[in-house]
Amino acid sequence: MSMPTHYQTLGLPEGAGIDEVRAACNKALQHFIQQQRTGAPLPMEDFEALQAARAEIGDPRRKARYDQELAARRASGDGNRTTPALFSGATTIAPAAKPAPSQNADEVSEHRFQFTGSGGEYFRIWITNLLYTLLTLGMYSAWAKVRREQYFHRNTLLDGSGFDYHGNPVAILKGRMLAGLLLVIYSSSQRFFPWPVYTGVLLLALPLLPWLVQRSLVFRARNSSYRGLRFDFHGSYRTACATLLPYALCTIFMLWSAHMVAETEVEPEYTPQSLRFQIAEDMTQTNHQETTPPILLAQQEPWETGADDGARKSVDELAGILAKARQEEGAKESARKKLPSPDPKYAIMMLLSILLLSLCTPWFLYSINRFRLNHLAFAHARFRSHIRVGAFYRIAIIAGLMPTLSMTLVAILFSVSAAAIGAGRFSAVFISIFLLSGALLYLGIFSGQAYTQSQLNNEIWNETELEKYHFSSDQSFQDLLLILAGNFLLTLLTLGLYWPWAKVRLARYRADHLALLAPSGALDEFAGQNSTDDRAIGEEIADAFDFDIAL
Amino acid sequence: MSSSSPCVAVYFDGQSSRRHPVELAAEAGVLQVAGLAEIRRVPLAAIRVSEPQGRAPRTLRFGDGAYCEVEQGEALLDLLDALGYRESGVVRLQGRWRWSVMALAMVVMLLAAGYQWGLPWGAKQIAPRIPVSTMAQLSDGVLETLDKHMLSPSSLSPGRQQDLQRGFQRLAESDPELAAYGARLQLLFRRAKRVRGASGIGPNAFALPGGQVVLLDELVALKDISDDEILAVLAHELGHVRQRHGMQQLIQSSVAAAVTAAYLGDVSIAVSGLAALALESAYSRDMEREADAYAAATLLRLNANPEDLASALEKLEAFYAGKEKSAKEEEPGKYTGWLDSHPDTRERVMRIRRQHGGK
Ligand SMILES: [Zn+2]
Repeated sequence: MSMPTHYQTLGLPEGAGIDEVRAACNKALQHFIQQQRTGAPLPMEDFEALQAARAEIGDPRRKARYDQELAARRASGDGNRTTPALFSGATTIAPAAKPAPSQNADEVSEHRFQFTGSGGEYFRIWITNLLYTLLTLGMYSAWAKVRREQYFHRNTLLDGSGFDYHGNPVAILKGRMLAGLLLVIYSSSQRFFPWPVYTGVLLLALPLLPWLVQRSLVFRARNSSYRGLRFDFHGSYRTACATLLPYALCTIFMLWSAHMVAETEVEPEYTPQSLRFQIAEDMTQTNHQETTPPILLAQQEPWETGADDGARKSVDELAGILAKARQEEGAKESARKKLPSPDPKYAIMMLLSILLLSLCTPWFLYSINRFRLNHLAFAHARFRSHIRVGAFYRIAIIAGLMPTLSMTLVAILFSVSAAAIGAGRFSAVFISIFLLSGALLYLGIFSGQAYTQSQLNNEIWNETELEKYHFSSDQSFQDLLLILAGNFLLTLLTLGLYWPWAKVRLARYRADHLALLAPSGALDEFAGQNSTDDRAIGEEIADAFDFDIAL
Repeated sequence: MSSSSPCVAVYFDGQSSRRHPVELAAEAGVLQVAGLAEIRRVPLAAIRVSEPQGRAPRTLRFGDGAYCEVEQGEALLDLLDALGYRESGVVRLQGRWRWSVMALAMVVMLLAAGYQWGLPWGAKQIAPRIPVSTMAQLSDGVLETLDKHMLSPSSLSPGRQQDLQRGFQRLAESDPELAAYGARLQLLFRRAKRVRGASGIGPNAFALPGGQVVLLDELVALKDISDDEILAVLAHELGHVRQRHGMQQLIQSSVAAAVTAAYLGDVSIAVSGLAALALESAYSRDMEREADAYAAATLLRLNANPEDLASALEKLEAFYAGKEKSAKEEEPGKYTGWLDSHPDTRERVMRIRRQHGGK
């Protein structure tokens, strides 16, 4: 009737300890091998069932959840099969597994991704990486990157097997050195050359951008594997250009007009400064750049794939320019209100370009994700994505409303309290209002982030398939909000030390809420030649310009 | 050989995603993979064993793309032991909390030491290598911004300006090294912009890396200050130019900002920006000392008295002390000026007097 429980598969009493489970798994596997050797192999379904059991109740965290589910099922009277005694002999693989697959070989089951890493472990890797990188003046960072990637790849399991990362540290180091050199040249050109020269440099470097993105997608894909088969990326430079350049041009136009406005002076509190804060915060999602296997890549904030270098860079740029201008002008002079009016031509141009940019951004995210997913392959199998541009706009609008709402609330709060406080004696009240509004602002920002991340992930993965198999993603806004806000607070309070835990927490959430829907055994049927890639230069440059030197 | 508990694994051939259950055993340093069509034997030298990474299964990779995935546990450890495999040093360290705590302490110490000593040292090495033309470009930009936002034209009489200008020329010409700065080595007169009743910048003079020295009217108008004292302050500023302190400072804060961005940028740009701002250095005590010493030497060379610098410092301090008192009663934090960027005035005055007191 109903499927046997995993305990039944292993011939264990329900709720058996984790060690017992593991021992039973090994014993059963051995038995399986024995049979194979003697020329009387057991059916593959048994092996599937065994692997499924190991994945589910061989892991303490999942086991706890599974046990709860079992209890709930029993309580609701759904499962009256409470007789583990049926399978006492662990020398045979649970016979109950045999009748089960007879139902329908094509029946789709849900293979959940699983992340087995823990914050403590990753902390130890992270701190060692950090120390060695400091001691070697950065040389070790390439090896550090490989260790970090491996940790996150290998601890991500699907149907009992882990992903793996194969980046070559020497290649990465070479790429990093070149990238570092370029970064120094670039940032000094930004500092030391007048704006027009710098814009020229930006324009000249423009054709390089799609190349970097394309190379880095190839590098990441080809250096990730699952069950011994590599991923691959088939997107061409030309497609990358078509995807990225319009947006990059848009961004440069905005930067240019913003700069012109800053040059001709606008009310400083109002201009680019506040704008910068907003965009910068929106754009600076936590950076999980490379810590997930490519198959999970879209789990990242889409504007973080490195693919949107343009967008992110532009924000950095803008932030840089404005911070510079601010520092020079504002460090000593705190209050300045009366100013010559700005050149309206540039102000209008800036507003227009910002409008244009915000109109384009969802479309850009949509096309970059299509580019990324539709050219991704696992062995010979291609990914296909049917994401809808409408969904991107819907998500962007709702997510955009959240910070706006919180800012409006803060504004109201301030004006009300200013009126209420009126004359004197305000310190305590004022401070609490100040703190409250700070919290509100951050809440708005994190809500926007959490909403975008969760909904985009769901949209992307629910509309993407690998060959004929679908994915399912069910991240929730509230969960992610709690995680993002908690991570931020704890990281802040611990001066950054919580960072490894934060990363692990997020990786775990992301894995837990992604699944591949395929008939059991379907995952065994991929095949293909492996392409490898040792040219890390594109990826490293893209990373460097993303400011991703995090360890 | 060692047959304590058999080690079971899943074998992948590297050509397909199919799982093959296998059993691993070690025999004389050779790994035996049993359970495939035929037993596969691989010497340890041809196997890449993955590092233990949490609870993730470990992999034993063979040259041809095939590999075995093995759960961590006693059986695997025994097998690796029997094969004669040793974990790498990094891995052994990574596994221990005590090491992690030590590593953390070392990281903190390294960063602190780097910020305290390494960074200034590095900046000092690099600053002289930066071409004057680059610094000139940089300074022109800064000056332009300052003129636009913070400074207005001086209201000193042309005659007074000429006097001070002549004094400045004498100071500048007394040091041939300064000739490299060319026409940019000049004294500029400005007045601090007044904003809505706030007093803005107080009495101040500052040097830009390209060689421009800006003198504010407020300093010239300081009570009881003599021209000699003003020139002493200018000599001090020339010291900053000559020793390239502005450039050093710029390099230091750039590096500090890049490092904080690398470390905290992932958390929030706002936070990392704040951290960078906190680390941004004013001229360090050492730089001030160097500039004071330079000023004293220059003044002696021109037969002037280093005591002028000491008394100028005292007058500035007296001014700010008074302002601070009255400012605290009104709006705190309104005044920033020369002494803010020039710490430890007392100590500096005493040092100048100690070294040149006899004159
Ligand atoms: Zn000084």
